[in-house]
Amino acid sequence: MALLQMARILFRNLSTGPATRLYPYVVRENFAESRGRIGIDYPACIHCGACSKRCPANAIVVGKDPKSWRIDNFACVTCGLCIRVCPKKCLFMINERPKSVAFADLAGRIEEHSTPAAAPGSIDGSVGGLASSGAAGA
Amino acid sequence: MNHREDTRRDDTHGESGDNGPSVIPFGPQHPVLPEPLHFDLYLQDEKVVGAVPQIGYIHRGLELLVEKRDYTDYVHIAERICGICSFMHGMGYCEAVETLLGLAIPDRARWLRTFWCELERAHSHLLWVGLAADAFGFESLFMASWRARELVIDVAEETAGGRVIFGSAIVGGVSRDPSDETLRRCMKALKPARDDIRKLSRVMLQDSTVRHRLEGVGAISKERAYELGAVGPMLRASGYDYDLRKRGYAAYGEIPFETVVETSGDCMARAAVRMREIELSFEIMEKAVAGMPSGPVSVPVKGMPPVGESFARLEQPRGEVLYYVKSKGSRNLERFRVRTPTFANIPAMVEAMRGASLADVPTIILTIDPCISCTER
Repeated sequence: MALLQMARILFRNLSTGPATRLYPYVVRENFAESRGRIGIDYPACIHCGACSKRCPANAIVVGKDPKSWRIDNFACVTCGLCIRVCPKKCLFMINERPKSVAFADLAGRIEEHSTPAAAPGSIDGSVGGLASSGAAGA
Repeated sequence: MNHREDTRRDDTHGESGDNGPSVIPFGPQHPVLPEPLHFDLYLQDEKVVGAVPQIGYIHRGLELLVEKRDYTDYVHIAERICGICSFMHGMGYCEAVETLLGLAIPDRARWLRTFWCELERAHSHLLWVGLAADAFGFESLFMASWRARELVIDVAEETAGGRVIFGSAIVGGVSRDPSDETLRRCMKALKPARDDIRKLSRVMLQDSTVRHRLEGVGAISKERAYELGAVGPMLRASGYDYDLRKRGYAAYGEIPFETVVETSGDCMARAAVRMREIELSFEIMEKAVAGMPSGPVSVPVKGMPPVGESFARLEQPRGEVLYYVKSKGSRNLERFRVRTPTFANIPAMVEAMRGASLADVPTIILTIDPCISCTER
């Protein structure tokens, strides 16, 4: 009897097709509530550093002078704590995940914003240093 | 009862070339073990006469981190103790800290926590069905149960935002508030999974090949299971009605349900308890969604925790878990300790192995549903 039960499940599988998708050609749409990565409305940021201080993964670095904000999306654990502590509510969750390591260009991994009026030279210098330390940590 | 002494005596016989037991190392790398666990199996011919378990391969020192993190942030680390019962670890820590603070959380938060707990139990038990089916060589049952599990995980992502780490328990309530429509839609989306599980349950409990591998294997009596401190499905399969959900934490006190108990105490009874608990989880989820109160989902947490200690007990998919926290009055707690269900079940598992044949050892190990990641933290 139970053998027939499993056979019925197997025959249904023949008619319904695979349960999996042909990823990456077929990509499932993300749920609206999915925790993908952290986004920022940078002009509203006041560089208070609350997000960076509370980040459990030390993924966020906030620069005060020159003013900058950067996140390492591979270090981030998308707990959403930064969003809850932000006094200006300029951080938000994006439901798309960052690009995987197979496409490891820093554009997908590091998101950086800076206020250019200050000292652009020092920002360039900090990009290389932080990127390499982040790679070692990951 | 002195198997250990017998083993030692027989060992010396073995050295002198007599008919003593041989020692077979089992694990930490073994095809049926998802996580590293080592046994020295003492075998007399094909029968196990003794087993010495050894853990310690994946210790990460997560408990110590409580001294270095803010007590409200540590919940994110507590969640990462385990990849299967993650929400319950976070929630257990929160309950212990909330007791310490004397904090009452809003009703909706309690009901949402109950919903997510049961969602996690369903996905954990379905994962177990797959692993167990794989262990005794029933590949299509393995695939079918994981297909049903996928729908459960989708609901987790839709309501909590994450497939494995829910990230929604915080000290003072929950961080996410899925709308009532979302919850109702999710219960509707789970219907195909429930239908599948009913069919798979018949296969798991009645199929002759499965019964041949599980019935009468690794039996442990009710008294012995209790004496050895077994918890969860392991204890309930031996006929002892002990389910911490009946203690009424979160919203379990307001949701009526019947605990699942089997009497034979063998691998089949443990499988039956889990299969029936999946259905029970869906029933509790349905009642939680139907009776979900409205209102806020968290209360603000301010100030330091007072000097003192507290603990919380929950029923995880694998059994009773205990969280202990001790505060010295600063933002960092002084001590955090978890007593996990797998740790409590290891003595009973060793007892269940005695007298079993070597080929049944993987099945016995898997029917306690070991989570070594929790056990070592």
